[in-house]
Amino acid sequence: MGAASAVPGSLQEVIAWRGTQPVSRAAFLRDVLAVSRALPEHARVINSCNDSYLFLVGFAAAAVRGQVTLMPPSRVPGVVVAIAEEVGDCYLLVDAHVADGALPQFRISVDPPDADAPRDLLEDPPAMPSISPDKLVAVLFTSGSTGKAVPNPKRWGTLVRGATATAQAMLSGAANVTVVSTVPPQHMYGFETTMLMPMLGACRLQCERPLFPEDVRQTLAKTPEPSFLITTPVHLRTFVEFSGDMPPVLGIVSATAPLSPSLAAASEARFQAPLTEVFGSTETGVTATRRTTHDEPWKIIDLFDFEPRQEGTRVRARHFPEEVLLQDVIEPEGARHFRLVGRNSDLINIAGKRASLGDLNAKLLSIEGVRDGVIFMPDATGAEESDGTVRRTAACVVAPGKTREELLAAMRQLIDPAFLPRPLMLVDALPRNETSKLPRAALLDLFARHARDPGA
Amino acid sequence: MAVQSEIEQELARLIVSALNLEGVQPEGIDPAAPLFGGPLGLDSIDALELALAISKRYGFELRSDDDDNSRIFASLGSLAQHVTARRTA
Repeated sequence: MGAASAVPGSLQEVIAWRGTQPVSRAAFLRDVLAVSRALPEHARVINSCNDSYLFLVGFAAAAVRGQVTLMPPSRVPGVVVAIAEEVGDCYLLVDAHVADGALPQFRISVDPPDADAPRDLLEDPPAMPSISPDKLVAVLFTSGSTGKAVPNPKRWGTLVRGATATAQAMLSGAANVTVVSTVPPQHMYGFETTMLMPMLGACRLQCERPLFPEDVRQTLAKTPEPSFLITTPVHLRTFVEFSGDMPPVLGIVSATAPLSPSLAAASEARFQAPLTEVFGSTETGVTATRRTTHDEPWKIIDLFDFEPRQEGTRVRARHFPEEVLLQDVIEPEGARHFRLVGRNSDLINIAGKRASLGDLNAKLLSIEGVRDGVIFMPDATGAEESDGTVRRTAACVVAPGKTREELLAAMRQLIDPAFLPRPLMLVDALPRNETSKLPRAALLDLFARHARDPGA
Repeated sequence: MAVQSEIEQELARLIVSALNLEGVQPEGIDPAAPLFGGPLGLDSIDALELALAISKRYGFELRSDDDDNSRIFASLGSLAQHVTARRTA
């Protein structure tokens, strides 16, 4: 199963655009082989490259060398170092100096793209590196409910099967597509669509990762057509509100948070292209798609079988080493479609980043000087942001002698900025009941009183 | 902490309202302190929100893909300089 070659596809083909500069698969292969030889001798690597091309080269080079790429759920130093210490024998792959010196660092560099070297390679092609389908190449971490990150090991064959199916479902057979992405490659959605799909030859990668609407406009304008925009509801809202014109694309893909049909329709009008919403998880990769403007049910990709369970949804696939239990609650519609009903209330999703409230609270309580405290979602809707509006967490903390600033500084070492509480309220005590549980109604009441009169 | 200029005061109020920074006093934002990764704890989603609010208020679009990005967002002071320059351009 799975393509064994690390760089399948014709060597003359373009694998990526660094801005307007094409990078051939031959040049990519040259870079992968050179970096692979240069990497330090460790079993595991945390790829911290900001540049998408260097991230791709770094991942492929590590796999060819036999090193496992670790992807922490957050780039917060405390989280990264905790994972590195847990697994051991690990270094940080960087493309710019990183001030945090807790881990050994290796700075990646590649030759400037020049037309001659790939031609040499084509005339005298090196032995194509291959990766066994059974080889463990990546571990993606999700935040668990106990304060410790949960590893999701990925074998090469599993990744290849998943990304190939994702490409088919997403691109519907379109050829020569370049993906332009606003999402980072360190999470499963970006990893599958912007790293694995180009690596497998399903599409090309635009290495610029635009953020603001004007960036997206300029990046799309310089990218050869046809292109696909890989993004999220939060980004889409800003693109819809953008005052300028957007170049047309062949397709839009949204994931990480539910998308409302109205925002989907506005996005389709803005980019003059159909929008496909994809459903997936770190554990499974993309498993289902839907055309959101029509408010369609989710269509399960052929590889997967879904089964609703009391505690969530069981997902099976032949390319999985074992079945996966998702926290999402679904309602089947026929054999191959479903509606999404909800999610286990411990899990929150802010701007596409997922966290467990249990995990956040374990981290809060681990801070010196915190006697009691709770991080929660004040909004009963659970921070789902289908209209692209971001809702944040709030916190009530009992920490005599500590200031908000001191507490936030400590939290920043442990918690991704997306989940930092707004507001963080210092209180004398939490309204715990006699069993020391914290009734949500009492908590919201305290929150509302405090919000009206912060000095109280 | 340096005293905020008029445009810095205006931007500080915009930041607090656009990003729902309840409990943060606009006049308490140090013009020299980093906006991101600093005491405010802003992230890239905040950058998006802020860019949207700035384009609505001042009528120009921010960009992140040039080297100016980290400089523009380095602090309230540098953001104010950029807004002043772009607004009158």
